[in-house]
Amino acid sequence: MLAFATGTQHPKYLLVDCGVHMSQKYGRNYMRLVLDDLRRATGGRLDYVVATHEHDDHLSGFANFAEDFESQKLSLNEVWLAWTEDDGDPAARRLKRSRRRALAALDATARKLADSAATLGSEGLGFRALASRLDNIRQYFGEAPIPESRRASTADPAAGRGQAPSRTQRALELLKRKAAATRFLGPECAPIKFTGTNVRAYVLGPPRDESMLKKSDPSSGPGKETYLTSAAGLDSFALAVAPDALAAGVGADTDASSFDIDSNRYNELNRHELCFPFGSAVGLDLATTDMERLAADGDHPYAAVAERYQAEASRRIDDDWLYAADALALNLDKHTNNTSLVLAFEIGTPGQGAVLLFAADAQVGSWASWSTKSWQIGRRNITSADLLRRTVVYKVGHHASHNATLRQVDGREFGLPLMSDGVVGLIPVDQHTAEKLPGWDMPAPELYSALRTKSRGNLLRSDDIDEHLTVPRRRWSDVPGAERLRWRASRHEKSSGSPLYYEISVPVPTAGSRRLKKDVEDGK
Amino acid sequence: MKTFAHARRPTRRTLQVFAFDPSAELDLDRARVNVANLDIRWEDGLLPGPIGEYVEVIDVDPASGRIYPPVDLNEPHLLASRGLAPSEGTPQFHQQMAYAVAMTTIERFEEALGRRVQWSTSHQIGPTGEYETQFRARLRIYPHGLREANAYYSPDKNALLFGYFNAINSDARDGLPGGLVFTCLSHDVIVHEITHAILDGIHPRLMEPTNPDTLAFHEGFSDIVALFQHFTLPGLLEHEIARTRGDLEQESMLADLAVQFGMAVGRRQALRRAIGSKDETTGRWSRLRADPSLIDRTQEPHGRGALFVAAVFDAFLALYRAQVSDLLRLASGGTGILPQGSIHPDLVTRLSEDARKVASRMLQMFIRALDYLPPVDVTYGDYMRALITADVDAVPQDGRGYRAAIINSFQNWGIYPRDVRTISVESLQWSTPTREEQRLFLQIFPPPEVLRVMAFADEYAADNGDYRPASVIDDDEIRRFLAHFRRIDPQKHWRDDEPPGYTPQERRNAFDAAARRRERDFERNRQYARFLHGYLNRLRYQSHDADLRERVLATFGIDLFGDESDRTRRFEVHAVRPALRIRPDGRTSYDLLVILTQREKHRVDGEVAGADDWIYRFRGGCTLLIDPLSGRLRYAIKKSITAEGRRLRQEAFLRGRVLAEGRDAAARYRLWRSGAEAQRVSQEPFRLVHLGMRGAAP
Repeated sequence: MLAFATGTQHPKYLLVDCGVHMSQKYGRNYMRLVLDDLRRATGGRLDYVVATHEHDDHLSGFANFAEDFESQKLSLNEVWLAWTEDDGDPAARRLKRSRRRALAALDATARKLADSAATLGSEGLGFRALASRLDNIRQYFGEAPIPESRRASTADPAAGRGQAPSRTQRALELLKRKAAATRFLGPECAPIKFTGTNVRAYVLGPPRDESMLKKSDPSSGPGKETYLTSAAGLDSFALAVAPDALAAGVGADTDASSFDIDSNRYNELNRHELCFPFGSAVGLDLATTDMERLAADGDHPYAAVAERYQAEASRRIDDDWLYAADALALNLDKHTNNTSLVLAFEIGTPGQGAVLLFAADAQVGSWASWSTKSWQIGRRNITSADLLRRTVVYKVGHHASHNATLRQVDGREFGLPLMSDGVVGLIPVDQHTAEKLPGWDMPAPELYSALRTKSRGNLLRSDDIDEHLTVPRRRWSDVPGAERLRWRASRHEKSSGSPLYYEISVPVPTAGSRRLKKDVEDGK
Repeated sequence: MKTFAHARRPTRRTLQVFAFDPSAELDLDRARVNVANLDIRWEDGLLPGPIGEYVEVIDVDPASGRIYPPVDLNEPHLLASRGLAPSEGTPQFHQQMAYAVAMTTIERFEEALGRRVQWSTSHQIGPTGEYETQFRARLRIYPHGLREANAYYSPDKNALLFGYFNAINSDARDGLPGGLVFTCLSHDVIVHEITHAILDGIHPRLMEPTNPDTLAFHEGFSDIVALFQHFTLPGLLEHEIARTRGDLEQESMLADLAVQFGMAVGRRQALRRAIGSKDETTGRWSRLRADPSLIDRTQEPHGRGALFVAAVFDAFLALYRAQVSDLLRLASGGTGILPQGSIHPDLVTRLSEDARKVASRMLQMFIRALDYLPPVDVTYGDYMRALITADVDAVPQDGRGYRAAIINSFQNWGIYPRDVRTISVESLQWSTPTREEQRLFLQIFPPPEVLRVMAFADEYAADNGDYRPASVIDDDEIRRFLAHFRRIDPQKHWRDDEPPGYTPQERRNAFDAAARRRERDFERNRQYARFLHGYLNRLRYQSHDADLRERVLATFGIDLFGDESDRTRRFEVHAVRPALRIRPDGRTSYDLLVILTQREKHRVDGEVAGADDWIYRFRGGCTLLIDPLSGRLRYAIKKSITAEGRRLRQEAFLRGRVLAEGRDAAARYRLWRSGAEAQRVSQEPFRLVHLGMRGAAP
């Protein structure tokens, strides 16, 4: 939450995301405390709300406490969303559609897996692990978890997606509905000045370039050398696992300009037929064929094959193909991270003031896309590297994962190395919870130590578990090593006993008396 | 149908396959050579599938919920027409191609190794609660098992799974955008995957990533086999020699792997290229240049594997150049510089012959070296030493300088062993045992007659059923062993097998007989291993000679006197393998391979991202090459269980990988948390390696 001094009694309040990870213990209670505190602090009026991207851990607060917004306990003036959420934008619609399709496939896979795991017993360990990974990712989109006992309901297309809106969808709907105005922002936007203040926001991401949107891992070395890429062929996987949802036209559209399963060419063919690489007439249906009988019938052409396939259950591959869902889920997830709205706030004179950088969950492709960007304000040309050099507060990208804080782009130094020493890093993370989750290596050890060095220990973590960091006291004090920055910890506490939030104040350079406050309400 | 009394039983079967993959069909240049006729071993009892002695093709496609009709290669029409003609739309052709390419590769390995290929065994918990080793007669091939851009070897299932997918390239010149791509129609992908399976059958521990080279070696080696197989495909080589005018250093499809695949995933070129690659933006091809510092900067299995491939291919090119230099001089009136324009067809033939000769000699060398590897923690350096030693054994006189060329090229790419003082053919060879070591070997190993039985009993051993050695091996037990495996007199028992007819029952019989042959091999070798274990184990009870213990450790790297109650230091007779090889000079050579291994559990300190401690296995082992005729030890190639430096290196490597790849990588590096029992979750190690995937989260 940011407060920009206006010189009047009422600063401009800007809230970036409001959510907590669903695995977080007492997360809901915690969000309650945060929202109550927000209301106290702002008088219930939020001038701007930024919803960075469609992930549950960034939006759950809006949906879970919709009542607060419905009843105007908290009122919204303007909502900022990334251009990727704009239904009026064909490219955004296409992205959304492929996201929905991927989700439908994950949904169907998770159901199939739940069923297999239940019947396989200990053999199904791997599948169970996969199922929980998929379920995790589904839940980032606010989908309800699938209980393991649940029988497969793949035959029931209504069980697919698109019926009840997920929590993230509800959150975005709510924001759009309650806000007086909704703005969709992209890198093409000019810097936005906040009226009555000397502060402006630069929009860095999400990129417009689709290849950048889909780039989430470093491409030097390992990425280039991999044998097979995980991105390819997922459409055909999705088609196989959820033919019904797709045939029913989830997200069918006619304006697809690049190839995807929904494009015009494919609409002319029978989608169902496409599920079969050789057409539906070739071979026997596995589901209805009695393999045992085939095996027993010595003259049948399939006899030998059926016999061998029946003989050793542990060597069958009935569900192995579903592992591809892992790649699908990862892709979906990373692409969604890359649709994060990335903002830099500049305080003071254009080209001179201190910068607060909010990277949301943006990953490699997003960073790379704005690494060469510049803006024109008056006669001044401001580059993204300039902004980084002046960054004094950095909301660390993606809970400090390995691929969301860059060190270089195309061999050129970019990202963290450019920021000023002593930069205050804000890391919303709960390492103990993260350790229990597959794929969550947060904070990533290498990056974390780099951050610690760069910030000279000025790192604020929402889990407060690193004793080596400098921690603000309850009274205002100077941030060590950072020029003119001050900070303090809140008197209110979380259930864990650590402060509910930290507050940092950044002076407005040109008007020395006016201070600008920035609360770190570490919801997200 | 009656048997064909007057017809000779065929020895070979010819089948058509794609030399590359279907993409070449539409390429005017490549299309002419894209159909290759593979000449594979005739199998009597080949069932529809095909299901043969070594592999079984089971064409279920669970993603589509189908099982496709199996091809019956013994159908008269197919026998008369070299099998099915290449076709993307006919699953039976896919089965035929996977089978044919797999069998060709298997045969290549058998030639070089001098024994039958065996698949890795399955370990399952039996009724007694102990792990039971189960013989796996056939590798299973699922041509349409996955629906993704991947193909992998599954050690648990003992199966190759091939995927198919919709291409994602957007440029129609690289193939139909969105068109179907079948990995089982790529010659290179099939060879690559089956080589993984064969390697795993020989050295199961090679899959354990204990240093940066292990997984990389698996990958690189599989690529090398695929590359060298290009040279054996009839027609293809001639075409390329003619096109490049004999200069194989130019951009050539011989050095490309998986073209269609690379295009379909949007790379605009082959998936992997051994001698050079195209810049993806400018489209210009450039030759790879050796850089010895690259190896230290490349840690990922595929990247490191690619360096190995590049080194091997450079050596090949150097040897080829040397081999054909006289031909080029002859053809150019002594200048060695060919005139402009196409070269004479005769010259093409002769150049191709030479290229093929060099390639096949090198492939043999590379495969043969596998028997000279230490059983655990293999590095590139070890492989290099194994390669040179094996080759000196097989070809004492190296007139063409193969060994020098390979050493040189490896050095240029920064590949060399860290444990030799100088680099030369001589110093790279594994050291032969000293007199004391020889004496120690005679002292603790069974007498020569036992070793000879193990080496020779093979084909002619009487089938006396199961043998279980007594718990204590004394002289009586040795006699029992010798009697059990006595050789039958081939003269007396010779029986000319009638060629089977083709009634289903007769085919079943032939099928079963073929299956039994390799199973008996396997069983025998297992019984030898049990016997040898018992024999070595008695040392523990006979003497408590601390000096002997030390000497055994120093020579074989194994602690035979480890405390019996201490389960972590039990030793294992991992394998006993007889091999019979025909040397290039026409002589036969016999070898008895004995592999001993041992393991310990160790702990990585909890420095890894503040997590708990991790437990890993540290292994030691020794490969013994024994000359069964003299009963003497030829080599003892060891990785000692007490090598502290090696253990620390392994620990540092594991820690480094987990730090770099995240905690989720721990399972891949076979680490488990202290306190938690190692969970046997199916890992499909090759699936992940191939995807180059790392965990990620929202």
